[in-house]
This record gives sequence, structure tokens and C-alpha cells, in this order.
Amino acid sequence: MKNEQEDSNRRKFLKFGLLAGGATIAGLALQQKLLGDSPDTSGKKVKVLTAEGKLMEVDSSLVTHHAAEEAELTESQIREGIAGRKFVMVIDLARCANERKCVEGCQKMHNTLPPIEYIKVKRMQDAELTAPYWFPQPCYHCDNPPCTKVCPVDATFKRSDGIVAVDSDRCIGCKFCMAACPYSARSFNFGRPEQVEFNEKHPMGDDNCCSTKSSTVGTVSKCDFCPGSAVKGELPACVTECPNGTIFFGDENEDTVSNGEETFRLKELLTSRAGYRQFEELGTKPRVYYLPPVKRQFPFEEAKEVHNKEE
Amino acid sequence: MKRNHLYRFLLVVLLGFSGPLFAEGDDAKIVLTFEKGDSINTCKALVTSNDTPVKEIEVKLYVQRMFSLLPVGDAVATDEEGISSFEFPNDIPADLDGKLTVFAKVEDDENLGNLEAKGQIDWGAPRVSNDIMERSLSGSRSNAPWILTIVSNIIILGIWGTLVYVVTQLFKIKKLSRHLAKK
Amino acid sequence: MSEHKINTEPTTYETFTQEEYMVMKDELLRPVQHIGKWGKVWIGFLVAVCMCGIYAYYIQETKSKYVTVALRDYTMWGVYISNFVFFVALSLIGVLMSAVLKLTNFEWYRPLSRIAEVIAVAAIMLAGVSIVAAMGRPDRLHFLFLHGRIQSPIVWDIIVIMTYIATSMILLFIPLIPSLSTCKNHLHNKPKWQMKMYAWMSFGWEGTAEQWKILKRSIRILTIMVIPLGVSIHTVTAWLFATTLRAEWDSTNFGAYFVSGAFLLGVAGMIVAVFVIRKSYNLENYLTPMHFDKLGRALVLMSFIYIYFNINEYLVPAYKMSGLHANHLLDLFTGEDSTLYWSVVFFGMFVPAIFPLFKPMRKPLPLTIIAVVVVIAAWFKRYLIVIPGLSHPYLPIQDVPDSWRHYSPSLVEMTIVAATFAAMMLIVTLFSRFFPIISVWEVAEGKLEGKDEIINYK
Repeated sequence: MKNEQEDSNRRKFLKFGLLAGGATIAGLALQQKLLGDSPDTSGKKVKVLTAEGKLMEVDSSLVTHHAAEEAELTESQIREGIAGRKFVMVIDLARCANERKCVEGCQKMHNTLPPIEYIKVKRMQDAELTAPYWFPQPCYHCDNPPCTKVCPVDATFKRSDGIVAVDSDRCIGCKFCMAACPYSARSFNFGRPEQVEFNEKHPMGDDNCCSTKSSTVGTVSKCDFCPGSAVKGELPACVTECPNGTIFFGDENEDTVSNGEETFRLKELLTSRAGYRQFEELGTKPRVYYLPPVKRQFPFEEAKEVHNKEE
Repeated sequence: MKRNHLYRFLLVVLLGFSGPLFAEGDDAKIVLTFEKGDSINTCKALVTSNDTPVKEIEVKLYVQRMFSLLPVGDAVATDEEGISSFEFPNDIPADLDGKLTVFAKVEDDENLGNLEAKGQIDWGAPRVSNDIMERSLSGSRSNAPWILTIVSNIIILGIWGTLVYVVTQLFKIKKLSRHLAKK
Repeated sequence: MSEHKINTEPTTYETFTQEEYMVMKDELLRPVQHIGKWGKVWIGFLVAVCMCGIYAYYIQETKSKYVTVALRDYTMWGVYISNFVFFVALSLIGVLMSAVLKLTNFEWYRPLSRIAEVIAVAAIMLAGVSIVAAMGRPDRLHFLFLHGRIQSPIVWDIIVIMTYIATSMILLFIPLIPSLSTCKNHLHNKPKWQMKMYAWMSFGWEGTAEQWKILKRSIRILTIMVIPLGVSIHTVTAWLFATTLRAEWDSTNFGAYFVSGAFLLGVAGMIVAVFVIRKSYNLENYLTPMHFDKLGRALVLMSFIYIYFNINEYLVPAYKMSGLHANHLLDLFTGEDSTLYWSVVFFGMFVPAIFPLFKPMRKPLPLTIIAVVVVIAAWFKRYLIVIPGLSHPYLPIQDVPDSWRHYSPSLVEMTIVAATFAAMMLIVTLFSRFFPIISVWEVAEGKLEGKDEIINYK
């Protein structure tokens, strides 16, 4: 009699346990549905500089991704641009420490080798008594581009999303756009042997989001604001690679820029931090703004080495 | 006996739901509501734990942008009723579909952890349209300024027309000789 | 010819039987009639240099341009472009020596006009070759016509250059027609195909009054048209630089500055060509010391005009020494380009302005030496416009290999440049071996009309 009672108790306990376990799972699922998705951690860490000036590593899932329907663009879209967007960049000169991670990230993204640099970091000093500062300089994708004006074959053109793009299948290599750019933002593929070899070993694939196939010998290429990343809701390589969050990128139509960790209203940022554009008086209307190096978070340090000495 | 089963069933259900709650601590929720006002629109976030409002919890408001979330205003602590009220600005440009996706978040609270509520509302300011199709020197081949196209074509046609005329005159010379030869 | 035609104009050029004319014809046709040993050596030498150039271009296009050509991202235009500007400038010789002199009734143009036109046609063709050598993707040359943008100064340059080539070739050809008849009638022992060519090209020319009228009118129309056209090609070429925002090229002066330089180069080039042709073909009776005297004076005039533009281009910005121009100007005046700059100023402007003021300097040999020096200086002047113009961008050049900072042309580039010179001289030489380099009828016409000063100095 007692055994039967014990067996029955055990069975009840097991049954109860299974039910409880099942209910727990069901409860979790139900809770998720009610309270919204909790972000999955991607496991990828990104270095960011917090507003207090602390350098820390955070999971890259904290950057919310905007999933686009398609990651590939059609031919006409390449010339027209991503609909409704107007990309703009803000570079905080108070944060640039010549880490050159932006340069390396861009080179990795576009399969270019040094000394080709689509974004350059220059040491600038405006006057003898003023402080030097580090100056990251990509292509400015000007709204009044002196380069697209002079192209004889329409190989470089301004898109509706603000990007000044290069069609490597159209470029005849006259280099007039390079002569016309006052910021020396463009590079030419002279067929440097190491670069050609590298491109053969690492083909870029279809790459039809950004028409600049920098691997095409005899054509001009340059910074393209990474439209291939933008269409997937990702920031350009230089933005995400910077450990200090120096570069902000966003859509002017949304009045928002972000460096991956911090997000600001564009107009507020530019007015409160006295943003300006380089060589404004030339009238090229750049789409890259600079925030002057006021209230630096760390002092200016000279470069420890000269880069790109190899031919 | 039947009541026994019922109690057991209720206990199981409660335990089931309490599983996750035991994992996080409390049954915390955040609900986002929108209230349209005359001049000011307001967002209200209600934070509850075990169905009771929680006060003095910092809630932050965000708007979904292309690459990230844009913080809107400062963090507002919940009041006695567990509600944080946010004045929603009316100058935030809308998304491509004309709406705004708003998030209310509780971040890293000791008891409640991370909470998030999402809602869509059409309080966005109108977006500026991008028009690059106007004629300009920087434009594409088909967007050249009218005057440039017209004047250059006139000049080219004028000069080449003269050249063609001169060449036809040469043939006239030839004709004259044949004409004479025939005589 | 119909004897029944009544004409009141002095005609009968072909039936002109005066001994003088026969002598003239023989002398002027001699280079076509007979080619000596040195003539063949000269042509062989030019062909050899051209072959070297073709081989160098082959190397350039098949091997890596990074290795064969010294161009880099900052100095992306080099000697090909400065050579292109030089040849465009040289091609204005047709405008100056042929058209302008004709219309202003300076009769001493008559022996010179065909020489000028041949050089003009050859130079503008080689300018096109030079620019194609500079293209990164010459296999896409046709894109210029398929996808050309009318807003681009390069497209303007192509349009004007093609128009100028067409006009100059027609302007070379039409006055040639009577000479072709002369060739057909008076050359002997020449291959059949050559004689056939003369017959075919002479368009049935018989020297009738009506034909002369058409010929004269056509020449006049084109002569008038070629002047603004020639000025346009060099102005548009100047705009390849002046339409950019670079401080060194951002000058309102550029169009006029380039055209005045082209006129100076044209006169100097004419002097050299006249001397060489005169000596090689024994045409001392037609290209006389009087021509050198006149050309010497023209050289002085053009030099002073060019000096004027140079003062405006360099001394005025130097006075201001704006931060935008300072690096570039100091580089030219005292820096790494200063030796070249001051040599060019002295030999290219001072020497042709002062030396030919003295009559002994206007004799054929001294003047030719001066002219050769001017031509060389002119080539380097264009180099100084293009390359230092690229070496001082607004943003500092940092973190680049040495070859990116300082441009010095590679062997391949210099070979191709030399080949363009050889090709130009080859075209002129070959032309002079098939067609009389001095226009027989124009000289005769002048003589008949009593205009002695076409040859003899009065």
C-alpha cells in the first residue's frame, strides 16, 4: 500500500515537474511577446569612447540595425542614389588622435593597399601660434562638385543621396577630376604591381552598391561614403573603426548623425559645437563638417613615425 | 479531488509564469502611449512591476533613425503613478514611410534590468525632397544649362556648315573642268 | 582651255612662259623631284625615333604605369600634358604666319604660308597623340563621343581641335591645288601612283578665271575663319587649367597669356623651319634675309607682348604674396624650380626681346640660334605651368612615398615626347617631298602684281 502511494507521488512529482518546465518555457515566450524583442547579443565587440571620455568595449548589438529589404542596387539606382537619403558626415577634431584606424578600415573595406588612402589623416596647423590638430579628410561629396563639372564622359556624377560616385566602367582616365579637386581627395589606379596582385587574390565580387571598383586599372577612385554598408543600415568603415568615435555619419534629411555609439541631431551638433566646412570660400559646398578642436579630451600628440615610405 | 487538480493546475501556471520572473526578479513592463495635444504632443511611458506602477525609474525616449537610435530629450523619472511624461518635439523629420518609430527604454536598472517599448506615430516633420535634376554645370550630360547647349550647337553648326560649303565649292571646281572638257 | 572665253582678269599662270617663272618652278619643285642622301638619312632618323616612341608606348600600356610612368596621385599630369599644350601653341603658327599676315597685306607671307600651314596641321595632330598617350584608358577613347558632356572643358577642347584640324587641312589643301597641277605637269621620272595622286587631288584644276574666283573666295573665307578658331583652341586649352580651383591656375589671365605665348612660339618655330628648309632645299632665293629680318622684328614684338602677360601673371601675385600662391611662387622664384624658371625667363623672353633689336642679330644664322633657344625655353615654360601647378595643393602633402612628392619624367615619357617631335618633323618633311613647300603660284602672283617685296627687300 505504501509503495503504491510512493509511486503515485513520484509520478505526480514528475508530471508536475514537466508541466512546470513546459510552463516556464511557455511563460518566457509569452513574456517576450508582450514586452518586445530583447536584443540578441552578437558577440562582436566594438571599442567606443563614452561621453565621459572613458574607452570601453561594448557589444556591437547596441547599435540598432535597420534591416533593408535588399542589399543590392540596380544599375539605375547606382546612378540615382539611395532613395530619400542625403548623407552627411561630421568629424570631431577634438577627438582625433591619429590612430589611423579609419585609414586602415577604409583600405580593408575597399581592398586598397598603402600608400593609396581614400581618407587621409593630416597634421594641420593654421598659424604659428595656434595649436596643431589631426585632420581626417575623406572625399567631401560636395554639393557643388568641381570634379563632376569637368568630367568629359559623365564617369563621375552626383547622386540624389549626396554621394559623388565614380563609374569605373566609364572612366577614361584623363584625370581632369583629380586636377579639379581642391582637396586632392581622389586617387588614380596606376596599376601598382603590389596592388594589382592583391586585387587578383582578393576580388571584390559584384560590388554593385558602390560603382567604384577601385581595382580597375587606369581609372579614378575615391571615398564613396560606403553606400554598400549604408543600404544595409551599417555605418561606413571609417566611422565604425575609429576607437574615439571621431567621425559621425548620418542622413541630413533625418537631421541625425551617429558614430555608432552616440547619436545627435545634426543641426544641434553643428550649432552648439560651431561646425564649419573646409575651404568654405571655394563654394564647393562640402557634405563633411568639422567640429573645431576645442576642449580636447586628450592633448595633441605628434606622430611617432612617417607613414607610407614604401613606394 | 477535482479542486485539488484545479489548485495544482493554477500553481503550475503561476510557476510557469514566474519562471522568467524568478530569472529577472520582477514582472516588469513598460508601455508607451501617445497623446496628441493642441500645441505640444506628449509621450507617456508607464512602468509597472507586478502590475504595480514603479516610481523614480529613469526612462529614456528614442526615435529610430537609419543607423541608430536618436535620444529625444533627457531621461525622465517616473512619477507616483509610474508614468514618465515626455514632451515630444515636432521638428524631428519623419522616416521614409512618413512615420516615426519611437522607443521608450529603461536601461540597466538594478531591479528591473532592461525594458523597452516601441510605437509608431506620425508626428514627424515633413522630409525635404532631394532634387538633383535641375540643369547645372555639374550635372549629367542631359542636364547641361540650356544656354551652353544652344550656343555651343550654334557655333559648331555654323563653323562646320562653312567648312562643308567650302568643300562643296571644291567640287564645283571639279565640275567646271569637266564641263569645259565636254566642250 | 577655251580660247573663246573673254576674261579681263590677269590669268595665264599655267601658260606663263617667262623664263623667270620656269626657273622659279624648277627650283621650287626640286625637293619634290629629287631627294639626296642626307634627305634619306634625315627621314630614316625621324622614323627610327618614331619607332622608339611606339615601342615606349607599348611598354607603357602593357607594363604597370606605376613603374613606367612617373605620374602619381598629386602630380597626375606630367610631360604629356605640357607637351600637348606646347603642340597646341605651335599649331597657332598657321593662324599667325598664314592668316593674319595674309589679311593684313604683309606680302612677305607668301613663301611662308604653306610651311606654316603644314607645321600647324602636323602640330595639332601630334597634340592629339600626346593627349591620348596621357589617358589611363585609351581603349575607351570612343566614350568621348558616345557619352561626352558638353559642360566639360575637355569636350570643348576636342570639338575645337577637330574643327581646327579640318579647317587647317582644307586651308592647306585648297591653295595647294594649283601647285598640284604644276606638279602633275612638270615633274618627271616619278612613280605612276604619285602622278596619279596629283591628278586626282587637283580636282580638275585648269586655272580658268571661274576656278580662280572660287579658289580665292574659299581661301578668304577659311583664312578669316581660322583666326578665331586658332585663338579658340589655345584659349580652351588654357581653360583646362583655368577652370579648376587650383591657386596656381586660378587666373583670369590664362587665355590671353597662353595665346600670346603661342604667337611667340609660332614666330620662333617659323624662323627655325625657314632656316632649315632654306638650307636643305637651297631655296635661298625665296626665303631671303629679308624674311629673317621681318621675322626677327616679329619675334621682338611677340616677346614684348608675352613679357607683358608674364608680368601680370607672376609679378602681381608676387606683390600680394597671398597665402594661396606663396608656396608656388616662392618655389618658382627661389625654390626647387628656380633655376629652370629663371633660365626660361632669360632665354625664352629676354633674349628674343632684346637681341633681335640689333640688325646683325637678325641675320639668318644668329636669329635661328635665338629661335632654337626660344623654342626649347617655350617647351620648359609649359612644363613650369603644369607641374609646379600640381605640386602645391591646398592641403599639405604628407605621408606619401618620395616619388609622390617630386615629379621627374620617366624614360618612357621622354621617349614618347621625343617621338612626337620626330613625328611632327616627319610629317613636314614628307609633305615637302611630295608637294612644293613654297606656294609657286602665290609667289608668282605676287611678282606679277609687281609686289617685289615678297622676295626682294625694297
